[in-house]
Amino acid sequence: MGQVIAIVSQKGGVGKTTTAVNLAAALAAVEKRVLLVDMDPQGNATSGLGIFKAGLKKSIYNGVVGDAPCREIVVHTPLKFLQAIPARADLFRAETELKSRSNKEKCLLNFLNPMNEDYDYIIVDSPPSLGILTFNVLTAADFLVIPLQCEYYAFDAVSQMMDVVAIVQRKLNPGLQIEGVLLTLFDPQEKVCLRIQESAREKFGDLLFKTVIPNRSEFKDAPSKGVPVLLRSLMSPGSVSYFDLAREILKHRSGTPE
Amino acid sequence: MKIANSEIIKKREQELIGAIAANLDWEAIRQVLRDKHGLSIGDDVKYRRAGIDVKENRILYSIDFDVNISLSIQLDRDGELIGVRSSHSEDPVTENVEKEGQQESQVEGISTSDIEMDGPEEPGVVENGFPEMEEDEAATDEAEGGYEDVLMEFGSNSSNKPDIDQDRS
Repeated sequence: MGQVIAIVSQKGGVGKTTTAVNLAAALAAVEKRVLLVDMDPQGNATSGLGIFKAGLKKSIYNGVVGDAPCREIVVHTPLKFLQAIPARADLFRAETELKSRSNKEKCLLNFLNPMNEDYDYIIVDSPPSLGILTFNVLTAADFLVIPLQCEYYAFDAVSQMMDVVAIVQRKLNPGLQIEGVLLTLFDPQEKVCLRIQESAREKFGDLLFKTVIPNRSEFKDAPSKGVPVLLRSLMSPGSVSYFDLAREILKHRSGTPE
Repeated sequence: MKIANSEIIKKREQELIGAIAANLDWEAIRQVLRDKHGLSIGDDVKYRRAGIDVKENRILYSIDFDVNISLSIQLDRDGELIGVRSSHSEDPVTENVEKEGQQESQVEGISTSDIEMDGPEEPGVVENGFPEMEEDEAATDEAEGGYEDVLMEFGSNSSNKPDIDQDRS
C-alpha cells in the first residue's frame, strides 16, 4: 500500500516544491512507483516536471472537488516510474468551494484512496499557507517532511507547523507522523547556517534529517528546463543530496537501522 | 439625437429579465448547489436584483438572490466551539437568520431591483423544495470538528508562546 508523504510548511520559499519534485524523482530513479501530487495552485511542481499547464484538460482541482477520477488527471513525466497529478490556477477556486462542503478536509484523501495500491509513494507538494488545501494535505498524509530554510524566521515556522500537526493528529488525522525536518538552502560558508543547523539538532533531535539540501544553482536552473535536477546533472551536489534524502527515507520506512 | 423612448427600453428590459428570473429551473440550480458546493439552502429564496452585462461578446443576465441557510453551531459548557454545520434542522438558531429586508440594486448596467416578477404570489419570493443535508455527512462533521477548530486552537495556543531564542551564537 502506498505511503503518502507530504512536504509542508506555511512559509513560502523554504524549498517545498524543490523537495517534492526532486525527492519524487530520486525515489522514481530507484524504481519506486511514485505519484507527485501538486496541491499548490501556483503549480510550480507541475511546471518543474515540464508539464505544460495550459494544455491540460483536467487538474488536481477536478480531483479534489470530485469531478474526475485519478486516471483522467494523471500525466506521465520524463521518468518511467514517476507520474504526476498537476495543478494550475483553478485550484484557487477550491479554497472557496470546499469550505461549504461537509468533510471538506477529506477531499484529497478521498481522491487519493482509490489509487493507493498503484504507487509505492505519493509525494504531495502543498501551498505556503494554512488554508483548506493545506489541511486536506495534512488529513491525507501518512508522513510529513517539513523543510527548514537556513534562516531564523523559517525556524519559527517549523515550530508553528509542529504545533498545528499536533492538533491535526487529535482532530483530523490520528495516524499522521512527522517523518523529519529537512534543512534546506544550506550554505556551509555561512555561519548563520551552521548555527541554525546546531539549533535544529538541539530542538528536533532525531527528527532532523541527516541529509542537508545545499543552496545550489542547479536548483534554480533545472525548473526552467522543466526537469528534476537529477535529469540535468546526475552527480551534482544538489542531485546527490536528494538521493541521500530518498535513501534516508527508504531506510526509515523499511525499518532498517542506519 | 434621441430616436426611441428610453423609458420603454428600460421597461421592456426589466420585463425580460423578470421573466427569466421567474422561470429559472430551480431543480437544476438545486442540483448544482448540492453537487458543486455541498449546500442545501432554506425554504425561501428572495430575489434581490438583476442586471444585463456583456462579457466576451456574450450577453450575460445576472440575477442575485438572498437565500436562507440553516446554521447550527455547537459549543460546550466552557464556551469552546465544537462544530458548525448547515442543515435544515429545526434548531432555534434558524430563527436568527434574517428573513426580511432586501437590498437595493447597485449593479452596473440596468437597475432592476423593482422588477415585478411573474409567477410567485408573494413578490420577490421563489418557492423551492431543496433537500436536507444527508444525515451521515452532517454527523461526520459533528464528530470530528474541522480545520477551523484546528486553527482556532493553534491561534489560541501560539499567542501565549514566547518567540524562539534567536541568540544562539
